[in-house]
This record gives sequence, C-alpha cells and structure tokens, in this order.
Amino acid sequence: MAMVTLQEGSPKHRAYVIGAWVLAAAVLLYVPFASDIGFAPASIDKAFRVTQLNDVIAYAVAILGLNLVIGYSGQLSLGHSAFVGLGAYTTIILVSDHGWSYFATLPISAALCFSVGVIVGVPALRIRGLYLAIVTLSVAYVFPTLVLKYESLTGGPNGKKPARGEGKLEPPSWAPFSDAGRLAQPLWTYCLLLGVAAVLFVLARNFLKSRPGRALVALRDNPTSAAINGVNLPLYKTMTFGVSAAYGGIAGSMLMMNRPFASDVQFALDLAIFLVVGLVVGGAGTISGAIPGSLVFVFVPYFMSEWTNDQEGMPPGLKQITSPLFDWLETRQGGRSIAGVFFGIGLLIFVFLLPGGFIDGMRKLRARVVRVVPNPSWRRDAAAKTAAPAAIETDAAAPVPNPTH
Amino acid sequence: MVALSFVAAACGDDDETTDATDAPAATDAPDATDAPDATDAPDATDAPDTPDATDAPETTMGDMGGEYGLIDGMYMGAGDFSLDPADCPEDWDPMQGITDDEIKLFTSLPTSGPLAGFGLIADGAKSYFQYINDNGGIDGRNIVVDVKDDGYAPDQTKTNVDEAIGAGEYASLFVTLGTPNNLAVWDTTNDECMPHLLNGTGAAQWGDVENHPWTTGMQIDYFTEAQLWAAWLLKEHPDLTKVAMITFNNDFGKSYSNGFKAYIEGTDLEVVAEELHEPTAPNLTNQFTSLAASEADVLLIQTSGAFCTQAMGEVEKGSWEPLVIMSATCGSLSQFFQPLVDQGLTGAGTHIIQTFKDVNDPAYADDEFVQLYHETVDAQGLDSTQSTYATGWIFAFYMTEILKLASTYEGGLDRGNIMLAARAIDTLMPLLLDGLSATMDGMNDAYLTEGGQMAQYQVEDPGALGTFVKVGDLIDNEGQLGTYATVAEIG
Amino acid sequence: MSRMLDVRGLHAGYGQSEVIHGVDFAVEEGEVVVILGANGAGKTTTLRAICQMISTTGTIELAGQSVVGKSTTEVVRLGVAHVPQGRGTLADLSVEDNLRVGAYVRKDDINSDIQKFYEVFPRLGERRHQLAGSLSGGEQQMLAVSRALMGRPKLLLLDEPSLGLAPLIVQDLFRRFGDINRDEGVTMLVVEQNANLALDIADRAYVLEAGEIAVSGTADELRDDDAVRKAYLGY
Repeated sequence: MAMVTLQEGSPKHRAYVIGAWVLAAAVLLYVPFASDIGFAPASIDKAFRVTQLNDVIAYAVAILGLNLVIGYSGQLSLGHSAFVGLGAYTTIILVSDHGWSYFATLPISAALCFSVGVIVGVPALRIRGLYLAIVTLSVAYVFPTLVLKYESLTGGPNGKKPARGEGKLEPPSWAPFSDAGRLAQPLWTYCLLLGVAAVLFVLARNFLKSRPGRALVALRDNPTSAAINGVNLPLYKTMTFGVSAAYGGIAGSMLMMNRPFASDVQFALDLAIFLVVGLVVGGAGTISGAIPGSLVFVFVPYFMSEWTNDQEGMPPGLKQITSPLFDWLETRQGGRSIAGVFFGIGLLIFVFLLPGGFIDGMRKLRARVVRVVPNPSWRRDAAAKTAAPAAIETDAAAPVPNPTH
Repeated sequence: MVALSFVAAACGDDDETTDATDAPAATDAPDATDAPDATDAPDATDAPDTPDATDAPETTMGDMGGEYGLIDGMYMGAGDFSLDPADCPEDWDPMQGITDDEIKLFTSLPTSGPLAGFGLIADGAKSYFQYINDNGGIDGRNIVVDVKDDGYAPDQTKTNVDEAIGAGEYASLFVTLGTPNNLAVWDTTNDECMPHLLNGTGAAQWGDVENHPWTTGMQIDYFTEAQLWAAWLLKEHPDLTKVAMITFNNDFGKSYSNGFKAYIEGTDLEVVAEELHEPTAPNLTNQFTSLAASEADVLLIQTSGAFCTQAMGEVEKGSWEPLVIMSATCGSLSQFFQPLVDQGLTGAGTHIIQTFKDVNDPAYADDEFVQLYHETVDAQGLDSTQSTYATGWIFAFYMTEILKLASTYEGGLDRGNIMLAARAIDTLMPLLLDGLSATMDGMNDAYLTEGGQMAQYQVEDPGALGTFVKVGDLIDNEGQLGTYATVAEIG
Repeated sequence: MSRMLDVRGLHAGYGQSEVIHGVDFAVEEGEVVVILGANGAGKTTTLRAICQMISTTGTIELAGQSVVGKSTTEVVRLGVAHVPQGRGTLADLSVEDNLRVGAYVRKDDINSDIQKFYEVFPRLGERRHQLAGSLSGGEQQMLAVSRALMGRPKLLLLDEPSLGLAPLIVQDLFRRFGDINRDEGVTMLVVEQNANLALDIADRAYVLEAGEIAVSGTADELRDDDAVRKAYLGY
C-alpha cells in the first residue's frame, strides 16, 4: 500500500509534480556543468563525457521516434538505423559541401526522412508482424550499401566530414562557459541538443495525448475496435512511420552536431537492433523511457568495453562476479565482443526483473510510495442530482489500482 | 612480409589470420655485411641494465644533438621540418603523457568484429615494449600503451581518439589501424598537435607532411608498391610491354593504378586494359573475358581479399598466360592460396613484393633478431609463430627508435621532439629485408620504406602449398617518392 | 417511424467461405431489435457486414443510404456504432481516452458527454485515469457501450454484450440498454445468445440459423413460439 496518497489537482499533488520537474531540470543542468561549479564526481569533468551525454540526447530522440512505431502503433520496425543515417548524411553533406548551418539542415532531414518513412510504411498496410520486421530489416541492410554506392556524395568507406577546421559549433561569447576551453564546444552542443530534444519530446507528448495519438494506441491495442470507431488505419500506419522516421532523421542530424563525422558502418544493422534494445530497456510505449534506454545504449557497452580492457576500473564487487567469466572467455585483450556477452547476460536479467522496462519498473516503485487518486469533480455534478445511479458490482475482484499518466 | 600484408589488407579486405605455413622460403641468406649493426643491437644479453644496450648504433641519432629540437621556441627538425608550438591549442602540453618513469601511448584498432585479428598487433607491440622496459626503458622511462577497440568502424575510432585526446594523458598515438579510420581522425590529431605516428595502413596520404605534419605512416604505400612492380618489369622483363589491370574500385585499388601509370610514363610499358570491380562483385569472370581479349603480357592484380584468389583462378583456368603481379595484401598462403589448392589449382608463378622477413621462415632461423623475437615472445607466454605479433614488434621497434632519437634532441624528450624524430629516423629495422632501410627526412621524404623484393610463388607438389622465391634484385626507391604532394600531383 | 436499417438479400463471409446466405431484416428508428442464434449461426458476421468490415453483397441501407462498398470509417460517420464481441477495450489507454477514441469522428465538444457517462456509470468516473485493461469485465462492457455512444450514433450494434459476465451484472447491463434506448432514443441491434434478457428489452427479434433467418416476429411472438422457446429460452 502506498505510503502517501495525493489527490489529483490538490496543492500537494501540484507541488509533487512541479518538484519532480524541477529535480529533472536540475539533474540535466548539473551533470554537464558540474565541473564548472566545482562539485563534480571526478569522471564527469571531461569534454568526452559531455559528448557522450550529447550522444545520449540524440539517441534518446531516435528511440523516442522508434517508440512511436513499435511502442505506440505496435508495428515492429527494424529499419530505424537507416533513418538515423539518412538524417546524419543529409546534415553532414549540406554542412560540408554546401556550407549550411546545422540548424538549417534539421527541417530538411526531418522532411526527407518523413517522406522515406511514409514510403517504407506503405508495406505496413498489407503485412504485419514478423513479415513487416523483415521488410524494415532490409531497409536497414540496404542503407550502408547505398552509402558506398554513392561515394562521390557520401565519401564512401572513408566517411564524410566537414573540411578541416570547418563545421564546428562554437559557443557564442555570451555563454558563461565560452572560455571553458576544451569543454566549451561540447557544452554548447549539449545546450543546443537539449533544446531540440525538449521540443521533440514535448511534441511527441502532445501528439500522443491528442486525437491522432489516441488513435495510434487504439490501433495497437485493438485494430478492430479502432476501425469501428472510425480510425483511418492506412493513414495512421503510414503517418506513424513517417513521423518516426523524421524523429530518427533529426536524431541523426543531432549526432552530426555533436561529432561531425558519418560513416557507413555507423548506421548499419546493429544500430537498428540496439535501438530496439534501448527501447525495450527503457520501456516500450513510454515517452520518458527513451532516456534510460539511450543511457543504456550509450554507456553500458562503453563501460563493458572499458572493463574488459582494464578490470581494475570496475566498481567494487562486480569484479568478483565477472572475473571468473572473463577468465573463462578471454583468450586475449578484451573488447566489445566480450562486452557483448555481458551486455546480453545483463539484458536477460533485466528483462526478467523489469519486464515492462525501466520506466514501468519506476512507476511500480513509485506506486508503493505515492498514490495519486483522481479528483472526482464529476461527482459534484452527480451529487446535485437526486440519486446517483447505483454502482454496478463488478464480477471480478477489484483490480489493483494502477494509476498512470 | 606476410605480417606486413596483414596490415596492408586493412585497407582492402579482411586478411584475418596468418600461420606458419605462409613462410616464404627466400633461399638467399641475408648478407650480414649489408647490415652490420642489425645483429648485435637487439641482443638483450649484451648489457641488459644499461640504457645504452637498446640505444643501438643503428640509428644516426648520435650526431643530431644540438642541431635539432626545441630551439628558440620552435621545434626544428631534419629536412627543413619545423613545428611552431604557437599553432597548437592554448592548453597544449609538450610533456603530456611523459613523466620521469613513464611514456604513455594510445592506439585504437579492432579487437572485436571480423577484423579482430588485427588486435594482435597491439599485443605484439606491448610485447616488444615490455622487452624494452625490462631492459631499462627509454632513459629509465617505461613505455605504456593503452588500447581501445574500434571494431574497424571509423566513427568509433574517432570516438576513441577524441576520448584519448580529451583525457590529456597520452604523449602520442601509434599504429592506429585502417585507412578510413585514420582519415577520420587526422584533422583532429593535427589540430590538437597530437603525434599520430606509424599508421597501420598503406595509404599514400600519410606522407602529407605539408598539411598534416603530425601524421606519419609505416609500411610501404600501395602507390610505391605499384612503382616497384614497374621498375622490376623494366629491368627484368624489358620484352614485356603490354599491361592489363584488374582493380578494386576504391582508393586502395586506384592507388596501385595511379602509382603504376605515373611511373611508366615515357617508358615502353603501356596499360592496354583496365577492369574495375566493386566490393560487391560476385566474381570476376566478365572482367577477365575483357582482359584476356587484350592479350596483354602482364596482369596486375590490384585487389584484395577473396578477389585475389578469384583472379589467380581465372588466369589459371584460361588460355591467356600473362606474367602475374599481385598486391602484397594477398600474400597470405593459408588465406588466398589454399582455396586454390582446394579447387585443384595452384596460383603458381604469381609475383608479389615482400618487404619484411617472415619470422617463421627457416631461412631466417639463425637471424639474431628473429631468434630474439621467438625467445622473448614465447617467454612472455604468447605464441611466437603467430606472425601478427611480429608485425606488432615492427611497429613498436620504430616507435622505440623514435622515442630514443627524440630524447637526444634539444629540450629532451617531449611531444614536439617526438614528432621531429618521427620525421628524421634513419634506422635499420632488423626485420626489414636486408638492403632496405627505414628513412624519413622531414619535408624531403615522408615515407619510411620505399623498397621491396619481388618474389615468385613456386609450387613443387600441386596438391600442397608452395613457397615464395626471390626473383631479381632488391629494389629500393628510398627517398624518391618525397611527400604526398608528389603523389597528389600524379594521382 | 422511419426505417433505420434495411437489409435485403445479404450475403457475407470470410474469403472463400460464405457465412450469411441471403438474409432480409429491418430495424425501425427507435427500436431495439434482437438477433438470436446459436454459435456459428452468423450473428457476428451480420454485424460486421453492416460495418463493412468484410466483403458483402446485397443491399444494406442506413436511413435510406446504401453502405455497401463504403469503408468502415465512412459507415461510422454515417452514424453506426459497434460494440464488438470481447468489448474491444483499448487496454493501454485510460478510461477517459477510451471515451475520447469513441468520439473520434466528432469535431464538437465532447467533455459534457464524458461527464454524462461518468454519471451513468460511476465506476468509470472513479477509474477514469486507470488503464482500461485493468478494469473488470463488467466495467469494460460499460466502457465499451459508453465509448460506442460517445460518437452519438443513430444505430448501436451490440455483439454478445452478456458474454463472460456474471448474471447479476448482465441483468443490470440490459436494464441500462433499455434506459439508453428510451432516454437517448438510440436505435439498437443486439446480437445475443441469452435470449431471455434480450427479449425483455427488444421490440422485435429474428432467429438466425445457419446463415438464414429462420423465424421473425415481435419479442412477445417469439417468446410464445414453441420452437424458439425450446431452443433458446430453455423452458
């Protein structure tokens, strides 16, 4: 039973909600700027950490977009890497070869990926489930090949980057951290990406709370029911693919703002797979799940790889567990392949412990502490009438309260 | 040689493992008088505790002191090469990664994925550094290498190198592997004044001293290799003039093509046919139909990986009988010749250029450095017949020589002097084929080794693998290529 | 009274197999009409045919307008609401969002309607922010009917509303269907196996057997029909 019960709309509830947002904002600002305020865990005050956080932001947008298709409209798409790649190449080509600013490329990336996404979404009208997964998989598979094919445009196997010294996001002089040396540029990118991501997250949230968003979930939960309520299935299926692809494309552009270099292998099949993993870990069908999903996507393989190279750097306790495994697996210097084994094991354990993903787990945890009850405003009207209709007894035991949203 | 081709293949295709059967049986014993210093220098037993033991006289560093180094605020090096610290970032620290007892280096190469075999180079390098450290290090400083895995993905290489630069802990990068991977980071390393040495790829770009003074390569570049082919043909087979090419349609294949064409201008040699193939080509049958129609005297196989095997097979099955010269990246017997044997073919008669001694070749069993290699590596618990460790030794040997030379410069060992030394070393790498040298000279010569020995693949028993036998003299174009500006002009 | 639904010579089925072999029936405005029938008689198929969710031939006219060949969305816009068997709960939407999906084709303000259903079914009001999937079967059926009515339909199609519910709840539910029909003037076509309850609220009834209309008449006539009584009323 929950320790605290809050009535929705009450001042306490409002304070709780605002408090949560303030806390989130504080964390988002503290993490990258920690070194500036002299109160930082040692590992954070490096420019590289901030660029990793920037990666987290960009991939969170990609996972959010993927969630629209998988988590909300219930269609398995394994081709998201291609959209992220298309967005990335669009940006890097426009910036490198045509002197565009990064921001100007965002709408182009979004529009281009939206169009391609809609086209990819067309097969989704006729096929579903595993077959659709295979179709989208082929999109992911084909993308790197196309990059190599159009070498004059994409740089081919050598990758694409702006000419030396160009295409850098320098912070403006008014930024308080403009003299932070090596940190200045990543921090400025952090601010920009955070702004872009915030807009995209709010847009996604509003979209999902709106009429088309409900139609999307209705589509996933019960296509029959959605159809007989007048939801236009073909339109929504293709639109969802389009919007999802646009998010992926913007995420790709954001990756380029952070690290202006694109190569074919970066946007290959394993990116598509790992984005799905990030989505599942964070929580399918949740907006905020994209953030823990992306954190896992960026940091877990990184630290796994670090630890296989240097087991001394492991957190205490973990080494005793993993050391025998390392000894058993390791024939030589470790690397991502061994990291992959541990990642897989970790994922397996995770799915057993938190089958609904991270956000779902947090909600369950929260439900033990705080219970939000709806504000029965409708009852005030009802009470005014002579007799409120007798409540119908339910046939089953009352379900466990499961407050959401 | 095989070990080198292993690295060279990084640019073209995957050449993952090599084994003892690859040993080219070069029959000529090395002429000791050619390289008088090579034999005694690396012998650990000489004087293991004095730094001088490894301070081999094989480099010409002795007389450099005072002439080069940090002089009046500028790094002045051999061959008019100079570096201005003012061009470096404000927080550039010449002593970064260098303490009284340690020199920290960084490398990014694949230790996972299909090209994970290259990761053994790092292990081999560590093995040599351990040997150096056990014998006093560089003036008492131990050489330490941190390795990060990039899975041969250029974006991951960039991430790794960005992190290493940001960490502010490393004196220099070395043996970063792969052409796209190094291209992805070389702007950054040069902007950051981070020595970016001995790249593990044979692209000609690493000689771009004008625009990328902080980046150098190690092995013979593909451009030069093709020029050695031309030089050898002109000398040994003046009667063969018509040349056909099968070329990998990428930077790697075209480097050969451009190098060869540049060299034969004004000679009797003439390219009469060239067929390109994509990395996705299922086979080369169509290309060979066209090439055979040209009735050329010579065929150049400028490709890599499984395409080498296919190309040799096409020649052997057809009626066209050109003299065949093949990229050194295809030198692995087990990988590229064994599949021919399995098909009832041999590949006999194919020529390739060799640069290094194969540590598993019985002909070099008495070579002191080869013995040292086997003893040391085995004593460290590694398998010394894995020739990729020897490749690691080669890289580490050059790196050590650079550090030793830099220590003699004005201002002592610092990162600026390391860079100067990397562009000034003139050393006899004991594993180089005798007669070849490793020489850099600032703005005049930006390529370390520009020579090689043509060898022919000969087969006694058609059902088994054969060996490589030297044909003709060693060719050394040392210093002729100059810098990448020359290559860029031609190519 | 004008004719709300007129079905003539209806054939319908799935793929190659035809389930409905030429049935005729009609529903007048304001009526509650029940279609009785055993499992597999074609009751659900008939409702699906009216919504144009399966391929059909024959004539289906809604208030004089033919719907054959139209899309489901268009049929919904013409004023048909359908509560499918199994209630069609959108499990991952909240109760309130379920109601909003029900009003999907409406462009006007729907909040007062939502309030109205919270009053009619207070349990829904209490749980309006809960996920619909966490409701009990009876609550889900209330939600399904409310959701269907949110679209302010002229004709409500109910497919086996009693399925899987306890008898007491079913009784209450059917009483409410009667209320809604009377108070809101919603015409209803109910498909049921539970003939007793259904005939209580029905004006007229049809008995469907193996894809054809076997018997038809007013509710009272069918209640008095011996064959029907034996087969469907159990006494």
